[in-house]
Amino acid sequence: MIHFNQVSFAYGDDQVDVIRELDLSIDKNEWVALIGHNGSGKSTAAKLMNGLLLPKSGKVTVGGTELNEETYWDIRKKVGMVFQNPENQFVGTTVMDDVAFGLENLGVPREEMKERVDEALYLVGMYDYREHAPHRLSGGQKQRVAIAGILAIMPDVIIFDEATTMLDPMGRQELLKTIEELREKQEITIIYITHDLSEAALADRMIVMNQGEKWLSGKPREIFKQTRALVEIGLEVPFVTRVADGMKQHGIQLIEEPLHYHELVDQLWKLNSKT
Amino acid sequence: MEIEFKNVSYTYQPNSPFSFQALKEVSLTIPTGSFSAIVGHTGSGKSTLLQHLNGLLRPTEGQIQIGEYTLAEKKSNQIKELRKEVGVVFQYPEHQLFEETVEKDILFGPHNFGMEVEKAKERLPAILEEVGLSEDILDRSPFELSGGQMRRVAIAGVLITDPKVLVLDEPTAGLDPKGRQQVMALVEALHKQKGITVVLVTHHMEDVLRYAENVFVLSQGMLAMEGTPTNVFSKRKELRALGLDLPVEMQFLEKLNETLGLTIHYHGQTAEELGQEIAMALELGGNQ
Repeated sequence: MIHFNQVSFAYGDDQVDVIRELDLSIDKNEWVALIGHNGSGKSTAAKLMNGLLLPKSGKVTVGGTELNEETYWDIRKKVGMVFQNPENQFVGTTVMDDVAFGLENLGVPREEMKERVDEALYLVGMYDYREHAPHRLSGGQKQRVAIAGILAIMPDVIIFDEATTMLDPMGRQELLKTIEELREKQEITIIYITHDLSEAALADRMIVMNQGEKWLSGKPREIFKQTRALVEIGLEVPFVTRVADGMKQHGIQLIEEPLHYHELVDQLWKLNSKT
Repeated sequence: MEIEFKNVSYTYQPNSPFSFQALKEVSLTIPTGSFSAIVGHTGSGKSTLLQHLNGLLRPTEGQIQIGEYTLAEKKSNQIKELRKEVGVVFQYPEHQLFEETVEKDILFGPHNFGMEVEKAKERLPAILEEVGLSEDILDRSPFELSGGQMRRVAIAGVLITDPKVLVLDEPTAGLDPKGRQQVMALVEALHKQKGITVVLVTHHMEDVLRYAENVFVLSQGMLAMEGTPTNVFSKRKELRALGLDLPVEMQFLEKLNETLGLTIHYHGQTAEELGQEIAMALELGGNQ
């Protein structure tokens, strides 16, 4: 779906490259978590995926189309983006108007627009709020409306750029659940940018960025085994991984690397009932 | 400096159709020199309460005693004095940095409070050291700094007036793990070394467990629970009814103890130590 071939990018001619000869390949319908500390290049990489930025060198293709000055408008329709601050993304006076905004810009006929707005609001579970004023919603609800606004445009890819950062724990859960449900209902490729490894664990694959380069790539379980490498580049090893490390130091052999403490407890229960 | 809320209520836009009571008869005491946390889900009244601590809002009913200062419905002429003593670092303080240089930004407070700016300037090296920034940062534009550095500049701007109380609203929001850890370590050091009273508003229950001595739980504008973190987190049903969860350490131990019939308690162990403790407990259980 998205391919990067030797992509480099700098924010000015005399600036250092923040993305360095990056090769990436993201499949259709894949959920990829892009992680790394602040300044690792993960947000820049995301902006190169939807044409908010164009590469300095190398080639970006999205759904077979090469990104350049002629194509970036088309690519932005295919790749929607949900940002950090839910407050900055609203323009309409009702939730419905807000979701319709992008469609109006595209000149979609009225009847079709209404259908697409309703459908998008159903998908994120916000249909009952369609007449509400966006600014009165909770943070999690606001982000779900932002997702609906993107879904209405029917993109192939949605990028979440640290979209849970400003939400409280309940809002976070709400947003992650919305993504999981969305994936069950329709085909969509998800790029999820975060520095929270426990959120990244929900993805099919994790790509760890460091200093503009791809540092590690693999299934969450594989990445979680490399605790030392993660600490080295300023990421925080999840609690459950650290507990598992303590057990390993004491000679306990786990069946597989746990992604969540529930998994660890289940494994311990199995190990314990064998002995 | 002790902070005491006596039956404090606050209503936004009273006597209007938009009238909304954000605090309802809150009484609480934050002891001098303590590290207190205020938790509650979005809309529980945390931010309203916080804005009372330095007189940005005044109670519509009841009163607040902060050291020798009294805040009530009637306007007080001591507000500037109070704001020197109670430093507040708001959420995303970098949105409030606006001067051309870091130095000007840090000195904005003393300037605004009519303090002697020259004297404040003399304090700069010591303050920078406290917050872990080097002096060459003073001439730089605040906008060139990293997220973690900007937070430290904002904290320095509050410390320069030598406050007795430091109030922080989600000081780590939006920082990466390293930045988060550094900012929390700084707050802890200020509390321990200077004996400064810290009031932390946070969603991170893990930070409450690790750093706070007292925790106040707000819900729908009321004080719903208070106590030591261990005490409050032992009442998990009550807490969950308020839409809050336990710190991950305690969630895990709860599930573990329940499933495997163990009795491991949390008393400040690191995750790795917990792992070893569990490993030992299980081997004993299994081998005998």
